Amino acid sequence: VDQVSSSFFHEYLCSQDCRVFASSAVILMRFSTSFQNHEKKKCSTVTWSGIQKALEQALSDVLILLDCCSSGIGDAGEGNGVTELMSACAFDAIANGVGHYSFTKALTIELRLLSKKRSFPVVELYTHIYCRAQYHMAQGIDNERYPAPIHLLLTQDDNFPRSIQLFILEPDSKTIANPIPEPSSYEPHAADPTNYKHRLSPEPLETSQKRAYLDWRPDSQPEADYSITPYSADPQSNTDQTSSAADKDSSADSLPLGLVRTTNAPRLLFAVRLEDNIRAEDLSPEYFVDWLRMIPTIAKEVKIEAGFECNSTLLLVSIPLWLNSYLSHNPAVISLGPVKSSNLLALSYKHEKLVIKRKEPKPLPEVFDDETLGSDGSKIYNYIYENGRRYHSYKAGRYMFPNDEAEAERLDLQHMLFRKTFGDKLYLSPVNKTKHTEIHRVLDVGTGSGIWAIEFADENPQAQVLGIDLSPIQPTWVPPNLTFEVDDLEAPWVFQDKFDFIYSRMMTGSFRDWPQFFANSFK
Amino acid sequence: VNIFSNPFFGYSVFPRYTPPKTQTLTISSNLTPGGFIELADICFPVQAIDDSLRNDSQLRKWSDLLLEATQKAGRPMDSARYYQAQLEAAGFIKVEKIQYKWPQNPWPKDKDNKILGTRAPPQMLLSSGLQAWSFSLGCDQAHNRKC
Repeated sequence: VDQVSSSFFHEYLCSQDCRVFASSAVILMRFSTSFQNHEKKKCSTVTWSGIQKALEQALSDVLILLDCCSSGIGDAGEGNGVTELMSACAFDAIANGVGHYSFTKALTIELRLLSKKRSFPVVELYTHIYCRAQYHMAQGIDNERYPAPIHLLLTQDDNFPRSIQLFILEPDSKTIANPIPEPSSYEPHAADPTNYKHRLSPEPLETSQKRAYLDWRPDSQPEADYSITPYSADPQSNTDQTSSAADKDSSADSLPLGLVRTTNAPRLLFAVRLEDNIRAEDLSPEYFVDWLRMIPTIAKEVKIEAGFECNSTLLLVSIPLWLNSYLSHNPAVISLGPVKSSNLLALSYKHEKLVIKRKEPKPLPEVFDDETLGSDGSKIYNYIYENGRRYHSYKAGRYMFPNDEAEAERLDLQHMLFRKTFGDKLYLSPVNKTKHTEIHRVLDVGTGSGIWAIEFADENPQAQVLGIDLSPIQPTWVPPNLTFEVDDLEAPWVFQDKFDFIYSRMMTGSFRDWPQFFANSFK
Repeated sequence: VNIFSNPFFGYSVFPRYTPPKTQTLTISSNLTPGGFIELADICFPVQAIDDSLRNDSQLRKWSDLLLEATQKAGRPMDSARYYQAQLEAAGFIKVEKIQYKWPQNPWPKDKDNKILGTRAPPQMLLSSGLQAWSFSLGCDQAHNRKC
């Protein structure tokens, strides 16, 4: 293999011929590492480092796919264009063996799936392969391993930073009429120089498209051709790319921005340990400016998941998985692994009536300037005491009545008075009279001690009741169809669902702008 | 302010609004079409069912001052007076207003009103941080402006 590949590289990368497929090249190599360990025989080996260096210095963009460990060679500082490497595992891990979980298997499946797209960047392929490779649960098979595949940016083009874009070569009559003998689907036929040369000859420059291709064949799909090109050179660039070009200046580099919008992509969770003890309310974007500058991403993609005290301060931060290889290394950053959702435990707090915000996650700079970081509930309980009375702390000063025990008693007494006034009724609107007017989602505005909401929820088990107040003074032992949230209804309303009954009692003196409240209710 | 020595009935007035059905094609994000909103509120100043509430009475004075204080705080306690017009301006239809009376002392003969009158004054006035309201009028203990 060594000889063949060396001669190939010599012939195609170092000679003039390589200009024929000048734009790019894919090198697909497979080494059967798993068999070497059993027999202690001396196997023929490939001196990879030299090959990789040659590839880094090639005139074209190069994507290297390794079904083995990466060798961990860094940027030699030379070369033309981008060199990206994807391998089955990191250089210090043990590669997975052969089986349903192998890197090649994942690559095959994902390439086949992605081939439905017109084009896709390498990082997208990597994200998919990563998901698939990590998808399996261990089944107890010998030598079964699931290392995380890695993606490295070996060299970057300073003039035009980019990720290699892959697209499908349109079926060409010449290509089809020219079947290539292919003994094994994963034979690195790129290492067969004559084959490659033969395939390339009819194509070059006649179509004025400088693109090279590689007829790489997944076993069950003999006619699928894959080719690669830097996406700048693609004259048929699709709409995704043109729109991303417009965004380009807003991004720190020219990563394929189509991917930025990919939802549900796995994110890499890591912990950042800060030097000082920082209280939640003191956290400000300035702490992260330098660090963020080193990540070539828009701040929106970086999410703070949680923060803890641990002698200093420990934050859990997540970024899109594909940014991993662009992240600089720092001893304060501890990688935790991939995640696919936000903090599930934080979500379950919702049912414990301790929710402070149910707004959409905000981009990083805004995370720290609001009360959001008090979502553990500490901040909203940070009551203010004045003249012997206790007042609410969330949006302090907004509501002029206290929120202490005596006030809760007053509210309960007030509730009794209202019930008595209304003939023991909780409400007078003609709802729940017929099936048609049955209500299912109720908003109790300024719920106070929550007594109205509790009694309403008890009487109407079919209705989901939400009680909103600035003060978290409501009991926790409440009907299951009742939720309390601390929120400010003078702020814009961001409720997920519509209400069919909004109830507001004794709110005079609470709102500054009643027409705005009615507009929010009505719209 | 000693309102309990005043020999008259004072009533808070309760406007209550019920727009039974919103027949609108507006894209609603917070209220379903056909949904309801109900508001129950008190409305200052204090009023009487007869002419027993004199203009120079302590209760009238207190009521006016409280209203002034809440107006200065930007959250006036006569907001209920405008609910109907504001609701209709927001697009609600079939807005219905019902007024109730809250006795402010225990003298009504009717049993329920007697209970309300016994309970309403202390709960309304004595335990809800009146001091805070007084400050918005510029009152303090040293300079008893007009309180």
